[in-house]
Amino acid sequence: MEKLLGIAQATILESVRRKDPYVVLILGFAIVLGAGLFNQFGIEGLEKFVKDVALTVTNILCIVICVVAAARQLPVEIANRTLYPLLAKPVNRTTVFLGKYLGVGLMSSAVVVLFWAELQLLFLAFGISPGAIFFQALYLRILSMWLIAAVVITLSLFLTHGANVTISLLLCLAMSTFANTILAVHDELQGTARRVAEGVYWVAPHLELFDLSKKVIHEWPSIPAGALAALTAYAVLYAAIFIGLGSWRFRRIAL
Amino acid sequence: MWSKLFPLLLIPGFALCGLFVRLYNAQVEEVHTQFTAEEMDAARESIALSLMGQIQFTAHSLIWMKTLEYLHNGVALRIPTEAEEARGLHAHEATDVATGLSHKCGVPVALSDETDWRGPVGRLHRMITPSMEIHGHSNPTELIPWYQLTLKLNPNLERLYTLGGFIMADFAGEPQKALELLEAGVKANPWTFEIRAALGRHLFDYHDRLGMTPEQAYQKAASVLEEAIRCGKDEKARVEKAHGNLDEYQEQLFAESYLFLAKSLTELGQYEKALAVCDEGFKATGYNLIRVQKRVTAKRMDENEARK
Repeated sequence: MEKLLGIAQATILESVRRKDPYVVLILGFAIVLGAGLFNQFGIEGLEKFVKDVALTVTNILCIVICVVAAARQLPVEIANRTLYPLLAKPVNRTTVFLGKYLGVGLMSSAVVVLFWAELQLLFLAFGISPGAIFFQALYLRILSMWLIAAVVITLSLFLTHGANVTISLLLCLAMSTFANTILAVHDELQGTARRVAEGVYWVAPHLELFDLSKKVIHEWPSIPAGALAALTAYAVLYAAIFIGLGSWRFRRIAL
Repeated sequence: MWSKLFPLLLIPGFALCGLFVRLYNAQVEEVHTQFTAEEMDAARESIALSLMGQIQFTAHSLIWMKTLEYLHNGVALRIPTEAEEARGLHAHEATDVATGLSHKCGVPVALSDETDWRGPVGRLHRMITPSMEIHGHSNPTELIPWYQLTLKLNPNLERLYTLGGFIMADFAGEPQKALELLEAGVKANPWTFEIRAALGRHLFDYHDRLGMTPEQAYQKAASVLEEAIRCGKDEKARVEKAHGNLDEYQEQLFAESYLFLAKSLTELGQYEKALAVCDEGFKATGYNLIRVQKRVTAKRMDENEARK
């Protein structure tokens, strides 16, 4: 456990040294500056627009930071040969893999919390009360970071860096479109095509289920705790499958 | 660090598009006089200009979809597939919105309890995504910033000026801002009859909240509406020459141009002129309210004569 935490800490420190937190602060500052534009509309009470822009930008940036951080961990360590001194210590590959995953998960969660704190300040400045669903959205966004980190870090052992980042970003940002397309065409399909569509639907990671932005923006009531529990179980199960797969692959990979 | 900032590069990109459009529109007359026919042909085949146009069009379409989402409280709708239509699910015209906001309401993207094949996952999806059992529309005030953004990208979307002005004045209670928007619309689109019609009506309806005396407002409205009718006739002739028709909203604005011109002239005491406008307007549009206005104007004229 100590070794695992040590590797996770090193991963977070590396992110800090790579100035990731500064990026977060700069981007957050850009959002707040952009919010100044809202005053130009000159109409009082335009809360939805402010929430929409702020949440959309925040969600995209959180996902990008998580994907980029998770995708570079193992390939960069292997390419720079910095993995060898680490493995020379009494640390097995599974611990290294899990440590990296833990580090990326914690760093991404911290980024989400930082962004959400900025959003909270922005909403306070505009006199917007986002309600309890805002915090449910925060919880689901953090949960999705752990799921994304598991998928991306595992894919980094199967794909090249560029392919991994591209596919992961597409999965994260366009999953809603993919899933809705399958739902729309499902009844039109017959036989094998329908079974394939259903198979793809069940296998693909449903990251769109972790996005409550629209409900926050349009002031819907909070969702039942049972839904949060079901999504937590889904994320844990899905992440566990990918971590298991990634760990197995990392143990077998020729270094 | 900078490689991670790449999404921000889109912002200056969009801003640049808006600036180009603004610059282009401001100089449209100049372009026609400065460039030769060959140069204009070359511009028509320019890949860069074509791409810019497509970006404008795509951005406008995306924002229009966004406004529809806002109008449905975040519920995403889509056109039903053939299989869904066979099951009796059809897109229907929205009936509880103003004419300018009319649209086809499709089926919700999140399937209903009866049609969903995903069981508990489907129920979870409906909890996460905004979905509705009974179709309804929200207050359109929140559409204003999206219209403003779209107009920054493409100042030639006349419909958004008229709709934006209507929503600003009627729903947001900001007639002065609506006036500024409509005037900016006329400036950016000197050929427009739609925006002029909306501007004329706005001046007539809201003069008491625009810091104008009634006489000033009616005079200005009359002058704007006369211009609207002139441009409307040109537009109608152009569309009919291409074997088309004005759409429902354009027809309404064209008819209202006559109606509010007659009303303004009546208020100004120019009864003979107002009656002539009523006759011409009813002949051109068949709009019943113009006939009603003719009776009102005639009565006012009689009362005025009697007082003399």
